[in-house]
Amino acid sequence: MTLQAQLYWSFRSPYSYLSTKRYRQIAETWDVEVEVKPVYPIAIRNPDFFSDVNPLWIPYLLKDISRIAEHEGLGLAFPRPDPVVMNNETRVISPDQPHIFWLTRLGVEAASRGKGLAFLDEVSSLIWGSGVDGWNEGDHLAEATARAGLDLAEMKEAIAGREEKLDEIIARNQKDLEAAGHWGVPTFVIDGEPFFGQDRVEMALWRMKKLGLTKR
Amino acid sequence: MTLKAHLYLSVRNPNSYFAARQYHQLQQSHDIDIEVRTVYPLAIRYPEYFEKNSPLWIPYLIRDCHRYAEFMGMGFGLPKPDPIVQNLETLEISSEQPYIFRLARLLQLSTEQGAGLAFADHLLSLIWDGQTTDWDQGDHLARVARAAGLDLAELDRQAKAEAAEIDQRIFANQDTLHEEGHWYTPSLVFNGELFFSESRYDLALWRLEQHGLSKRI
Repeated sequence: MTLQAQLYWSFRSPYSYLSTKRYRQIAETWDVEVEVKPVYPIAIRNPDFFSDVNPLWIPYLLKDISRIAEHEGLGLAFPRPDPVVMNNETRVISPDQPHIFWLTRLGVEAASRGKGLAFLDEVSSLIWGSGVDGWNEGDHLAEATARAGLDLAEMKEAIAGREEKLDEIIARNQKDLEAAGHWGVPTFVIDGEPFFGQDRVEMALWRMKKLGLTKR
Repeated sequence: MTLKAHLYLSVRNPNSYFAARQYHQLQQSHDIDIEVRTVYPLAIRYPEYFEKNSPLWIPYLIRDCHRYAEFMGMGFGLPKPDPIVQNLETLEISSEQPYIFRLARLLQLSTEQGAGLAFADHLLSLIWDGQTTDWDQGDHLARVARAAGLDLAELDRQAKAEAAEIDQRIFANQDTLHEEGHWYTPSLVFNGELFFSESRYDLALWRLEQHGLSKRI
C-alpha cells in the first residue's frame, strides 16, 4: 500500500535544500507519495525571528550547511540573490520582497501538477547548490523547471490572476505545519508524526519501514 | 596519535544524554581523548528562552527524544525528579532548585579528575534512561561515581567546600562555548570546529577520521 507523506518546505531554508535530494531519492525507491507543502520562510512569517535568535546562530548555520553539503556530495553556495531580501548585518527584513512570493507560488503550482518534489529539488539545487549569480535571470529557472518535467512559462501563465488563491493554500500549509507539531522546515510528516530537520530524514525512513513501506 | 576534543554538556539536556553515550563509546573504541566541559542548563543561563521559543518546542522535543532513543536502542523517560524544577506546561521555572547545582558541580569535578565522559555517560543515563525513579535517592549516584572510578562522598565534600570556585570554572566553560561558536548543548569541538547536537555525531566522526582517528589496539 502506498504511504502518504507531506513535506513542509521553504525556498529560503538551506536545510530544506539539503534534505530534498534524499527525500526525492526515497520517494523514487520506496512506495511513498510525498505531497509537498511550500510555506513562506520564517523571515516572512515572523520578521522578528532573526533579531530574537542568538547572534551565533547564523555564523554557525553557514559553517554547518557547508560541511553537510560536502559530506553529502552536494553543491552549496549562498544564493545570489537571496530569496528573502535581508540586511545581513542588521538582520532587518526588507519590506520589499521581489522574489519569495512568486517563487513559493510556483512551488504550490508544481505540487498541484504532481511534480512538487522534483520541482523543489531542481529549483533549490539551482538557488542553493549551483553557485550561479542571478538564478532568477536568463533561462536558469526555466531549465531547472524543465528538468522537473514542467514548463515554467505555462506555470506562470496559470498562476497569473490566481495569486490570492495560491496564497491561501500557502497560509493553510503554514497552519497545517503547526497542527502537525512543528513550525520549522523542512518538516516531513508521516502518519501524523513530524520529523523536523535534514538530520531526521533517515529516522523518517526508519519509521516508514515500521509502517510497512515497501520498495517500488 | 591521540586526538583531542572537548564536549559541552548539560545534565538537564536530553540530547546531552545521547551525545554522552555516543562519544563515550567512541572514546572507548578509538584513540581519542574527549574532555567534558560542564555548563548550566538554559533554564539557568537563559530562562527567557522558554518563553520566546514556540510553544510547540517542548512537546516536539520530548517526542523526538523518545524515538531517537528507540532508533539508537537506548532507553528514555522524563527524569523523576527533573534536575530543573519547572512546570513543563506553563514553563515556569521554580525559584527553588535543589538538584542542578550539585549535579553540575559533580560533573565538573569528575572532569577535573579525568573521568568526565564516563561519569557523564553513567549520570545522564541514570537521570534520562527512564529506568530509575528517584535517581537522587539511595545509592544511585554513588554507583554512578563508582562506575567512573570516583568516590561520591569525596566529590560531594569538595563540591560543597568549593562551590563558588567550581561555579567560576563552569561559567568559564559557558564563555568558551560562546567563543567557539554556539550556546547550546551538546556541542563537540575538535580542531576549532564545533558540532552542535547529537545528530552531528556522524559528521564529527567523518571529520575525526579525516584527521587520522584510529581504533584503540
